[in-house]
Amino acid sequence: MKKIIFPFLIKWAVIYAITNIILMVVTFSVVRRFGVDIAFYKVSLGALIMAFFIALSVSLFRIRKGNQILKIFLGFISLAPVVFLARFMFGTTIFRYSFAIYIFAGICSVIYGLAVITVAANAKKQEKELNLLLTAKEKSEDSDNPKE
Amino acid sequence: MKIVIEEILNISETEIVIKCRRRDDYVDSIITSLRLFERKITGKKEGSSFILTAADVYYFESVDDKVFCCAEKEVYETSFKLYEIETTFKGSPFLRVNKSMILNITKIREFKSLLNGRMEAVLDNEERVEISRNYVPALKVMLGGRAK
Repeated sequence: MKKIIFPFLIKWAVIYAITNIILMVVTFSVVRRFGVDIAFYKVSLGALIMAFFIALSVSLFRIRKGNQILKIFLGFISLAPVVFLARFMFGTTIFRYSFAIYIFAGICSVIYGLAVITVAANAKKQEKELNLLLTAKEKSEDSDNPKE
Repeated sequence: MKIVIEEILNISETEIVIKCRRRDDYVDSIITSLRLFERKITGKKEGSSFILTAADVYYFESVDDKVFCCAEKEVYETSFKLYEIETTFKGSPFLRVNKSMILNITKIREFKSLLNGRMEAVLDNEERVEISRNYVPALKVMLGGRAK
């Protein structure tokens, strides 16, 4: 259990720190642009819960066992509450029109999709590199040890 | 490197003579690799002790404060700690690939990447072991590549 909870808490803490910075910028922009003060409890509580769901999404995505497609899907599903949290935090200030929530959800999906593609592409590149090194090593060993 | 194998029927022990201009790291790594085949490990299985040759070991794994030594099909328990094994086999094809495993890289058949960015090594006995991202640079160096 420790092996699951501690890494999750670390992820949550790191993501909370990043989320806070992003939300600080967004809140500042909202205050400057619309002149609306956003309740502190909403932002702080929202950031904490938002970070929880993002950490959950990352953890589900990075889980060791299980079907890969299912893990990606679960990671995506656990991001869904983030959209509603954003609505709860900024209310009609940002989400004045109902379609704004779809746009926000779309942006979240695109970010998640890009993250999945980047991670998979990097891993594939590394796999290729390692396999090439392995083949080269095997070839050099074969030429060093000719069969009698 | 040139390898000359001479078959002499009347000698009692196999002898290896290394002819080199001077003893350097390359020569030392050859010596370490040769010595690896001589190294013996005691493993326990079902109350009986077995002596294993290091070259037959696929990997050492730590599970719940116990260290297991895995050969092609059998698993033995060993009294060594993982860090002791790491020190003993320094310079040999044994490399730490994640927090709880030291892998014999000569037993790797290929590398496989997963969609969530994780890396796996497929061993000669079809087993799959996880390679942690932190240990990939060291693995690359060991396979003759360069760590970024």
